[in-house]
Amino acid sequence: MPGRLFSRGGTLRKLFSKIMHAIGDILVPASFKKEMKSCEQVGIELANNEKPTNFKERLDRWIHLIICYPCWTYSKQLELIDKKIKGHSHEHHDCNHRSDNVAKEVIDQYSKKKEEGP
Amino acid sequence: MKDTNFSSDEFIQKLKDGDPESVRAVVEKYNRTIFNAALGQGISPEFAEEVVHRTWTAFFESLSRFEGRSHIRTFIFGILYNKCKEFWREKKKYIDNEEYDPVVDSSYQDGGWSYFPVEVDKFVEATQTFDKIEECMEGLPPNQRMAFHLKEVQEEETSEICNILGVSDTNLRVLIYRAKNRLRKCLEGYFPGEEH
Repeated sequence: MPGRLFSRGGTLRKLFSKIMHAIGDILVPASFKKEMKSCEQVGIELANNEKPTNFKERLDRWIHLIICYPCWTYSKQLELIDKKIKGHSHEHHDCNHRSDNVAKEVIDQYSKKKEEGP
Repeated sequence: MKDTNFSSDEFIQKLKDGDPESVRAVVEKYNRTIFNAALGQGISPEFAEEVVHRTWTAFFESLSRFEGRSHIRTFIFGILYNKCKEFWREKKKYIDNEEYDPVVDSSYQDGGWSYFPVEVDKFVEATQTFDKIEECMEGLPPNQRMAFHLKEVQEEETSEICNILGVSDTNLRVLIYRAKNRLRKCLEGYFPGEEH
């Protein structure tokens, strides 16, 4: 993966991506590009953590890494957001007492009705 | 913990009859989950208490109309989603749902990308504290926030999320994409000097 090779060098990756993008433009036939998914479609797949399911899709994704050069950066950004939000939402232990208070109130409120009768 | 019994006809009937043990069981089972979901919508803990309380009130009031067609969890989350929307409307921070027209995004131009996303190393800095993410989340419409939370944090099944939000599978994909892309772009906005 280009990203792994250049994970510490943003400028180098950018330069590499630009060169690959230029090469991709020459090497990938226009007819093939027409059949490919758009950057936007790939963006939706990345956002939904969807993996390519067959050879064509895998090839599409790889070519997107070349033509659609910031794909790797984009997917890493999404990954970071995911991790951060997931991590944060599991840090709500200090709110458990609030949640438990609500639970107690609700149970009291709706169980009482039964005990009180009609 | 398996919770299939929570959707059984017998359990639902007991709930409808106001059986105290069943009331306790359902509240204890789902209360923390929906409380966390409310927090995940960017609602402060103080207001989350209120939203969760309203959710349970609506749940018990509408239980007689629950026909058991969906899982009880789906039913509860559906109510929570509406209560969150109500909350945002009251706070005048409600952004109406967008149309599901083809996604047009300024990141893309002529089939390619219009600019480089901010480098990952720099992007990490923006996500170091949760404050910026929270600020950015405030700009998301409720349906996108809820879709994101249910999918990524609660890890709910796609079909269940579609039922809760009342959207199709395709629309859900777009909602999640838009939520993440908006957050990503918003966080990128913290780098004014970056070449876009």
